[in-house]
This record gives sequence, structure tokens and C-alpha cells, in this order.
Amino acid sequence: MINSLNLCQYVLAGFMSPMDIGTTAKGLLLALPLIAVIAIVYKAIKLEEIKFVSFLKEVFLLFGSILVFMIITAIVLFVIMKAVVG
Amino acid sequence: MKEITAGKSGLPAVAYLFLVGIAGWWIPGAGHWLIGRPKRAAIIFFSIAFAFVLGIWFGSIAVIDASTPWYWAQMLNSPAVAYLAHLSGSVYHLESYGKPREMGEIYTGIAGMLNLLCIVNAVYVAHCKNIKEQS
Repeated sequence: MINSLNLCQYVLAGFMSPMDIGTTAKGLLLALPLIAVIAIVYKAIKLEEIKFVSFLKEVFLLFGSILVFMIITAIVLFVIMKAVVG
Repeated sequence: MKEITAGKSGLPAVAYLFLVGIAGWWIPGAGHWLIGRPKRAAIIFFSIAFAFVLGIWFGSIAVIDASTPWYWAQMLNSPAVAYLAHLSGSVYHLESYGKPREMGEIYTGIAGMLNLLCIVNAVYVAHCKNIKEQS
């Protein structure tokens, strides 16, 4: 059974050694939490009034826009790379 | 000549703006809390703290390295980051490489730059409030 001290040590140890993150396609998913944070903070300072539903809607819109733009950029870069390198 | 003060705080307007900026730097969201926007303050605090903690979770506190340019962006989170840099560099001599370090630097650096955006916004809103109260 894990007592609270061990749990605390386990959590703190997580900040002392890096995680194992491979250079795989799955690694790209790690961008999602950062995009969410950017969308939340940006909308928190830009909206006139903070109401839960409208705030959530605005955050989702911005999150989606950033994501779509990044996907389009990736596709364009891939096409250019294929055209140049082959 | 009438002294210009910032609303209920009674502080001179420039000192109030300075206080809002410094508070926002020390604790993300504190600037917004000072100008009476507690909801935004909470959202900013938890979002920036989440991004920062996730960054050092990915790459360990070794991602806070005073010898890299990322350090200046990370310092925008809070001056407490300097203590983490001291811990990782001088006390524990930690190292982090590759993808985890990259992710950690990006997360903590962007969290810091988002906090700068919030500081500037809080100071600007405080300034607008001052002008409104004086007119």
C-alpha cells in the first residue's frame, strides 16, 4: 500500500528525471494541451464578460482554428518537401 | 495640484500600475485579481501553472537552464523559476536531453510568454480604469 509520504516522493521524483518521450507521430499529440492552454488564456483576457458556456464555446473555436491551421501548415510543408526532395 | 491616485487603493496611479505588473509576475493571475477580475485571475493562474508543471514533468527541472535563451521566457512565469534553476544546476546537477527537454522548454517558455501577455493586459486594464475614474 502506498502511503502519503511515498506518493509525495513519487510525485516529486517525476520532476527530477525526464519522461520517456519518443520521436513518434504520437508525440505530436503533446501539442494539444499547450494549444488548449493558449486558447484558454487568450480568451480569458480578450472576452468582455466571462460566462461559462460562451467562454467554453470561444475556447473551442480558437482551439479548433489553431489545430486546423497547424494541420494545413503540416500538409503544405509535406507537399513542398515531397515536390523538392521526392 | 491634485495628486492622481488609483481609485479605492489610494496609491499613486503609476505605483498602482507597477504593483499590478509585479503581482502578475510573481503569481500568474494576481494582477487581474488586484484589479477586481477574480474569475480571469483563477483561469490564468490554473492554466499557466498547468502548462509550467506539465513542462517540468516532461523534461524535469533540468529544462530550466540559465545558460539557454529559453530561461528568459521561463523567468516570465515567476521569479521563483530562478530558484528552480539554482536547484537543477547547482544543487542536484540535473541534465535533460532530446525530445523531453524540447517539450519541457516549449511548455515552460510558452507559459512564461503567456504570463507576459497577461501582465501587459492587467496593467493596461488598470490604466484604463484609472483614466475612467479620473474623468
